[in-house]
Amino acid sequence: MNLLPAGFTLVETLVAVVLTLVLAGLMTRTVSDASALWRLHSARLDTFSEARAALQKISRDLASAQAFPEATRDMAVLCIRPHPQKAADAPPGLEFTLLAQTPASGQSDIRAVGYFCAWDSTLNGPVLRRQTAPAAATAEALRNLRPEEAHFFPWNLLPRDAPSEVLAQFAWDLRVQTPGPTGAPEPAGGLSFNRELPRWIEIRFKAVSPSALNSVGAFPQNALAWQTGPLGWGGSPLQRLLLRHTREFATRIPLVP
Amino acid sequence: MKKRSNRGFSLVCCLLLLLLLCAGVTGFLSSTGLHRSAARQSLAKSVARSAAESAAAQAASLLAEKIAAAPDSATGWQRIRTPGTEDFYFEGTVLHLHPQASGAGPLVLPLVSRPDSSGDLLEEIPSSSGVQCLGMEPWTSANSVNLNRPLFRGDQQGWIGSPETSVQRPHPFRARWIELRSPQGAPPPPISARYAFWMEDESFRLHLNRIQRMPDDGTATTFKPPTMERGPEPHSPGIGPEEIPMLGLLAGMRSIRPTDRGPLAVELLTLRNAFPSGTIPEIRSFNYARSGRDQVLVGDGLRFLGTLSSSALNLSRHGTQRVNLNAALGLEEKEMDWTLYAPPTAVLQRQHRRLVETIRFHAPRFGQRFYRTTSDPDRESVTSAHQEVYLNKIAANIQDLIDPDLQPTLVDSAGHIVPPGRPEAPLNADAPDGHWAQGKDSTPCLQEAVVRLRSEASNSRYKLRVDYYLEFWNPTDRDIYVCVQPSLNEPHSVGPETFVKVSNQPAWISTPSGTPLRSTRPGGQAPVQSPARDIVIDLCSGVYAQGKPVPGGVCFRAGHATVITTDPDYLKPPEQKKLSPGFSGGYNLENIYFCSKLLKGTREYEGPIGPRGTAGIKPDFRDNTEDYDTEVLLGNLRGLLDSHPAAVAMGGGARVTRPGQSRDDWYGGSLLGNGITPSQTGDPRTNNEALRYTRFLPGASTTQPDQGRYFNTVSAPRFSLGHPNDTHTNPHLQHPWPDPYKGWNRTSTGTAKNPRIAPARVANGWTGADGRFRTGIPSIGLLGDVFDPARKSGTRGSLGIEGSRGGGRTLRIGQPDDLVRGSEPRAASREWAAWRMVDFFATRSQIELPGVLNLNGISRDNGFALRALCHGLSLNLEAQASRALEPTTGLRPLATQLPLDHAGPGLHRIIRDAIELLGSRGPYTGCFRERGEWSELPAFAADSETLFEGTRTSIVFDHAREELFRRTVELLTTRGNVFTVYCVGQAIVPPKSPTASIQILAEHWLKTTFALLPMKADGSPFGFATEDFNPDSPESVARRFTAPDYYDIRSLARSEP
Repeated sequence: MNLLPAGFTLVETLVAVVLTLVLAGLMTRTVSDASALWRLHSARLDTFSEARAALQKISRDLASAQAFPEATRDMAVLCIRPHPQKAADAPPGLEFTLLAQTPASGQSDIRAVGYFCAWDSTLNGPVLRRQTAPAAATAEALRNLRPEEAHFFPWNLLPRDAPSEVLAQFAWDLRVQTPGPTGAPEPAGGLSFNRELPRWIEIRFKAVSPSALNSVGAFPQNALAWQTGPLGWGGSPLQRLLLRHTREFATRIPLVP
Repeated sequence: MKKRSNRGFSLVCCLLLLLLLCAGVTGFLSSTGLHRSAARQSLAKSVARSAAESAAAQAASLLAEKIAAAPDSATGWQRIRTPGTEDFYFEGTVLHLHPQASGAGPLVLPLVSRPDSSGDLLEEIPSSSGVQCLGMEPWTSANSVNLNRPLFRGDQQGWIGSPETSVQRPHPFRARWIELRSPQGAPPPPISARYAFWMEDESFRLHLNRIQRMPDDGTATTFKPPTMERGPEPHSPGIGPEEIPMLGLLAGMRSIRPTDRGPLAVELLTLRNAFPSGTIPEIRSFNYARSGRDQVLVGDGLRFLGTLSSSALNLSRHGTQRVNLNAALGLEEKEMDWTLYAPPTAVLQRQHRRLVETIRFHAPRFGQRFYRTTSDPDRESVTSAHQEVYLNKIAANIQDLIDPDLQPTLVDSAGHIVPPGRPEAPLNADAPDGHWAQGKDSTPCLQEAVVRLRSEASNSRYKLRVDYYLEFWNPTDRDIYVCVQPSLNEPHSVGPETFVKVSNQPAWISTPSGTPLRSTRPGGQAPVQSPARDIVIDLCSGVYAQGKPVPGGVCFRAGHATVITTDPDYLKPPEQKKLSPGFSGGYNLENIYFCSKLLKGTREYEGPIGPRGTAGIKPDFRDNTEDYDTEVLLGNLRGLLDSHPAAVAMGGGARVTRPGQSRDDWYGGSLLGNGITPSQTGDPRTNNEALRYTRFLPGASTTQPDQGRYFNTVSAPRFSLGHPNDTHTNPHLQHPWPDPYKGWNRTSTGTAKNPRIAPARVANGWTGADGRFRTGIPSIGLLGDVFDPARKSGTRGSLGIEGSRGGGRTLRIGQPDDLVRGSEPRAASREWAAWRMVDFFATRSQIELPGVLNLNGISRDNGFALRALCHGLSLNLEAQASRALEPTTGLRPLATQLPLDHAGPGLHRIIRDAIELLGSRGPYTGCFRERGEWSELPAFAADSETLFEGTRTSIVFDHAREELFRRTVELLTTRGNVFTVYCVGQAIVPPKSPTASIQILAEHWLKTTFALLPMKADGSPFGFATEDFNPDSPESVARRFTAPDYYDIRSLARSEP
């Protein structure tokens, strides 16, 4: 009598191996998808956090916008203009510059602040940037402001080649709306608000998750392609996947009229 | 061979699979957690922001609602502690509500968040003690928050700023937390957020962009360089806060050395001018001044004291827009040719009525000032008729003060302006066409008159020659001519064809049967007013001075007495001696004009003498029985200039009855400054008083009341026509008046006569430093130059009326009004105080007055702002007329100017007085309700020496003693319309137990500055750019005097530190 336990038959072994492979395959796919989703969500979260932080910063600057209602001559306190680099290497959109009052330990609180979307060659994508002029420089410029420069102030204080900070990566299509004559929002471009500010200002921009873009790996590498945004990329399902990770961020900030 | 088991392999596989599943799930959970955390953080931030925004909105709407409901509310500064707390208290702006309709006491509303036990905001706090104002339990660190947090490391000022005197840095300004409950959750829903706000009236602070600001209208030459103090008029007429000197600001800053202030003021102004539009965008811009000497950051030091947005509304206590006097009279401050000013009567009528209706609306009982018959100041004792008369008199006086001509406004007994025309008769109380008002314009006033009667008899006929010496005083600072002088561009001519008319000359008897010249008896009968007894003296042609012709006619020199005489012998020494023998050198020949031309009548009369001497000629002045209304009128083709209806001549006289007899009689009289009986006080319906004639008799008895009063030195005749010491008033007028209006002199000894106590009119347009003539008045304080026809009840006469020349003085605007019982907050007499007029009258039409200072904040900064406002003011003690008087009086002049130094004792006492007043329980209870109450400062009282050290205010010329008020009233307010609210909002998790601490999820700080703008119900801005309402239409009047329907909240600035 053979007391040794019977081994697996070949069939059993094969079935087990097949089942194991099937299960492993299934699990691998699931885990892989989960991992991808996790990465995407994290990136999206990062993006949203970044964008939200950018919005908060914009809101704070705008809420502290400085008007000159008692000035006797016009002087721009908020400039909204098409971004000058748009045709060459940046996505379409506007830029706006304003005078904001932000408490600091120096001698002055008022500084020129500008926001714009520009092409970032390192990132190979568009970014939302914030540019500030030092309070001392702003005060100096204010004191020496010539009448012919008044309508471009504080835009003149913020040269494009001056340092700026990135607020949000892969952010583009910065748009601004202000109340029109009827109070309804109207796109603002080429506007310069003198002495007084509009009653409110609405800021919009689009942003997409950088991680998602990296996952896709095939996003446009040039500015012109971004001019129409991901919708215009057409292409692969993965690129269409990016649409799910593209958001438009907007806020309306009441200003001093 | 032992076979190995494979069962472990499956287990490993299962474990691997489980591990992978766990990793996936963990990733999901982690992602979800991050999302949740971010969402919570975002939500908390939003909640905190919303709470802060709610606080700002609630603060603004609360204020707008309260002010709309109580237009006469004022703001003050107060520190309020609750019992048992020392370290936690409220300090800041309070709103004083004065419910008019209910008559309730004032309510105090601290402009700070403060819950009551129900969790709602307290609405009204009926307490002046302060304790209840904060509601519930004592403040602690748990239920209140310090909103003056430092903005950065080392910040000594804090968000709001800190007073210089504060020992705590930054000085704490606390507010109560208001807790908000979550909209969801089982009742009671959990507390999820809280907020606090603290609000301040910006008008407590100095507007740094307004002070010492050069005007934009090209009149910069009127302002002195920044290193200099302000000067006397016209450099600082008191128009606006632009006149506050930068030096005044720096002088209050202890951290700046005195020697550095001048250069620093220059630097600051230069710095400010370098900014666009000459305005600094932030207070800290002043930090860029090169103040390296002291290493002081000037801007940071001004955070508590300065502002860049402050204004007040040009509204009265009723909430209606103040009436722009200049606009109401068609005299907006502008250049004009005064010689062309001749509005139609209908226009003048409407303008006059506008003033009357404005006073009537705002102070319905204002006429209680007139002809009072009770000594109780709070009791109404004036008839409605007299009240109506008074309003018309005041309105006429205001018109005449401001309009550029010198023609008094005449209002008849129906309240109608009398159209221009050559006057035939003076005003007369007894005449059926008596007038309500004759305005006081800058015209010469009759104050002394002498009639000379020379009679002689030859054969059976007599000859009588009548001559007059009429003395007029020019109380203004301008020479007044009868003809326009091409070289002068200010009103100086009394108009075309100026003449003096003497009507109802004293009668005389020539025959027993009398002549047509004889008057009727007095005793209430109307005077004769026979045209045959009138003479009209031409002042324009046939005029001589010191024997030489004066082609231009008579000139009434500023501040001088000018005598018009018809006596060609006036230069002869005997006549001079008779006129003023008591003075060496006789009368002042320089100011005596012989007017040779009579336009009407004659000086010489002739008639038969009765048989046997039974009849002769004598003036019919029977002792104290005859009352001939000899009247004197100064007029021109446009109407009356001055009028005296009751030039009473009394006393007997001898007759010339035989041939060869001759007499030379002099009768004279002076201004009847104070009546013994009501009938002698002049016509109460006009500004006139009686002019009493008294015959001079050498050696006459002093027991005669008239002689006792006027000529108390009986050893010699004491006429004083034109004497240098008689430049403004009769020096013999020594009656010790109990009348609080004092007139020109109240000394009982009769020795201290000072010309500076006399009133003066100085408006009628002015020429600025640029040489241009302007009309309108620049400061509403000039209403203090309006003659006040008020008369007070006294002890004499059946009506007990006492009075004097038009009340004898000007309206008490700029000094305490004796008609007001000052200690009673709601005393009726406060409704008819003179200073009330600066509440509803203004000099400009703009609805917002930027940069004006709130007087009620004086305890906030220990008078810093007020000191800056007054800094460098030089009070001109010899303002206007007295200045003109000075060269001829020979009296020792007072200091010509009294500079108000920032730290000087005078200003210090004023501030001390003001703080004490505001802290008392008197009429102020913590705040002045209107700018006119500034008049009641003890420093301005007659018995004070505060303003003029060593000099009692009572002997200072009215215009000078009220100068500080006049030069500051346009710069002051009692409530601003720009407020800043400091808010903080927090999203919180309340403590689980009493010992646990609160968990703060997010916090948001917000500062907003907003203005309350008056609006109409249809959404249009409230305000009246012109004063074109129809005073005869009740609907039009009602429309003009509406209050704003609501207040719009306009945000001016906003920041989130």
